[in-house]
Amino acid sequence: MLHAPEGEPRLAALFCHPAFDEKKSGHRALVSCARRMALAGAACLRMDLRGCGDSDLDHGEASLKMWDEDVSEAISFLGERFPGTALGLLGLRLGASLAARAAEKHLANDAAPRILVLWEPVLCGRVHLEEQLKRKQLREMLTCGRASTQGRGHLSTGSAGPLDLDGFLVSPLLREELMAFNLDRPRSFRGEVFILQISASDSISPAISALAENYKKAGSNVRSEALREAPFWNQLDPVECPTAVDRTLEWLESLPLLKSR
Amino acid sequence: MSEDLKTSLKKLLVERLFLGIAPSDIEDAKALENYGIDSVSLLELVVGIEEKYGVSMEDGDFNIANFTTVNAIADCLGRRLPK
Amino acid sequence: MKHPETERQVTFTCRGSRLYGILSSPPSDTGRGVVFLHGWAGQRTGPHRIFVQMARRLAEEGVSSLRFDFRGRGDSEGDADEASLTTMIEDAAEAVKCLLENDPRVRTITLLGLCSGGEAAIGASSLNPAVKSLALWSVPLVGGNTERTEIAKTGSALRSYFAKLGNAGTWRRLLSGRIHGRLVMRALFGHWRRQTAGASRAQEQKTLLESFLAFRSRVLFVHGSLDPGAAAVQEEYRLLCQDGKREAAFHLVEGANHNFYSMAWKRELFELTARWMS
Repeated sequence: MLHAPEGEPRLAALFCHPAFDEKKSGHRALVSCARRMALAGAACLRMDLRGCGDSDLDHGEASLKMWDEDVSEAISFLGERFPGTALGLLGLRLGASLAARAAEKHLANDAAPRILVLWEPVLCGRVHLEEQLKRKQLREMLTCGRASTQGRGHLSTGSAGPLDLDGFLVSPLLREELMAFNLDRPRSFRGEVFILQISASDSISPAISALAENYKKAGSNVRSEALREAPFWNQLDPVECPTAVDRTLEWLESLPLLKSR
Repeated sequence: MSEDLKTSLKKLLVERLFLGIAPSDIEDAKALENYGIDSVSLLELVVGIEEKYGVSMEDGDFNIANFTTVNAIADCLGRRLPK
Repeated sequence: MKHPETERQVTFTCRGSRLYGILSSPPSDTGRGVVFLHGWAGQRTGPHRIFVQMARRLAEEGVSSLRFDFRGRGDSEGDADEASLTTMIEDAAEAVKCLLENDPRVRTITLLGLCSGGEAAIGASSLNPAVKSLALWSVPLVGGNTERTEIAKTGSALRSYFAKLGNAGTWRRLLSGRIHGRLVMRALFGHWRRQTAGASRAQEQKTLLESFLAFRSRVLFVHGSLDPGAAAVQEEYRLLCQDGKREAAFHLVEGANHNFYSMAWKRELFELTARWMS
């Protein structure tokens, strides 16, 4: 879905959605953000990664590598569709992690993204996978009184077969990629970075601080903010999270890069 | 069971789950569902417990009996904490 | 799996709001179509893509389909807080028209609803003559909480039904589930629809019950056996169907919860629904 502004866009932004059940609950906030950014002059592309949403393939066929390719294709699409327009990536949860990965790959050319917005990024794939397993175990507990699925021990020494995460099949490849994935390493991306921590805490966590620091060391201008809100990507009812959108828009409006057009 | 642990758990519940009540309003033996806690809240609670107390919930801990009240959670958690 | 020529985005409007959906028009033509109706807080893909997968399964058999986001949900316009069963029913009726207009090969339609989407299916069932059957996944019991005095007291099935509703034991069975009351109910119903207050709720449920009783065609009920109260809900619907005016089939997916959260349960759900539809 492409949300196009009236007139020439000041920014072309790709939205990267969360994985698993987080995608459903996080959806409306991303829709709201895209609509409001379009009103403010940004062309916003929201897409479903392969194996997700309405896109091709089953989830069991997906991998991080495939999702990286999807993001790259979308970046190329935006670059061709809006030549000369600043490109940005906005991601939520694992989508933020994918955005961060893509930013590392598309460097130093005219069509490279220059703006990165990370809403509560998944910093460690293993922890993320373990959380999804806990979600499954809690559902089993609520249905049957106790969980029957093995948890993190199963992840480390588990079978070679796919993992059924409550209807989302995780291939051995995706499981391996997630177990190995970590954002806690030096960054190469140089641009404008906004990291929005959305949690029960109103102070920035050490892990987010470390991520911000890595971006600064690479030469990025970084703003990190802590937004004390319930993690809406885990809520049962759809939540638009207007404050997250407000903060993001405020930051975008402050960027000299977007004022220069 | 240590009153400090129960007090700390109530604080965690209120803060982590955005309950909008004071920790002291939560009764030790009252069913948590009375405070609007649902399945997604339980995930936040489990993650919060692990982060705050540095424990790992084991597979066997995912038993409904361990999540009904503050007392139940405290009992379960107490078994995980170093003495 | 997807055939590139099979699926495309469509939009339609309802009360001035644009709704977004995906139309699946397979190459082979059976004249049959399905409109998927997601649950209260869901989206057109359904939980864990259950509607996407079912749509593609049906496409293999030449059945067209439309899955869309209700107003205030997913990609569709509209205020999330203003959504209600009434708006869902209106949206469903427009979706039926959208399918018929965009795939003129379709002559008969099944409304396939999940949870509150099933209620919307019931509510929309008589709004278009093309709707010939209802596939209701995890549908709640309609007519609940309705004051007995507000219902037309004709028909033995109706009287029997409300006699049962007045029995506290019935409600204990329906609501107690296997485990723990509200915590489990909200958890497993997942997208637990916000209850409209008092008289509006009563009227809403009265209208739904009347819609169900007026529907004179085929209905499939599928619940997970571990969805709290599922067996009791199906029992109540059996009572309602005793008047013989509709061909009703009932199925419990063994071990499944409310949203059929596993590959195995989904497969069983797809197979039995597709078989029933064919």
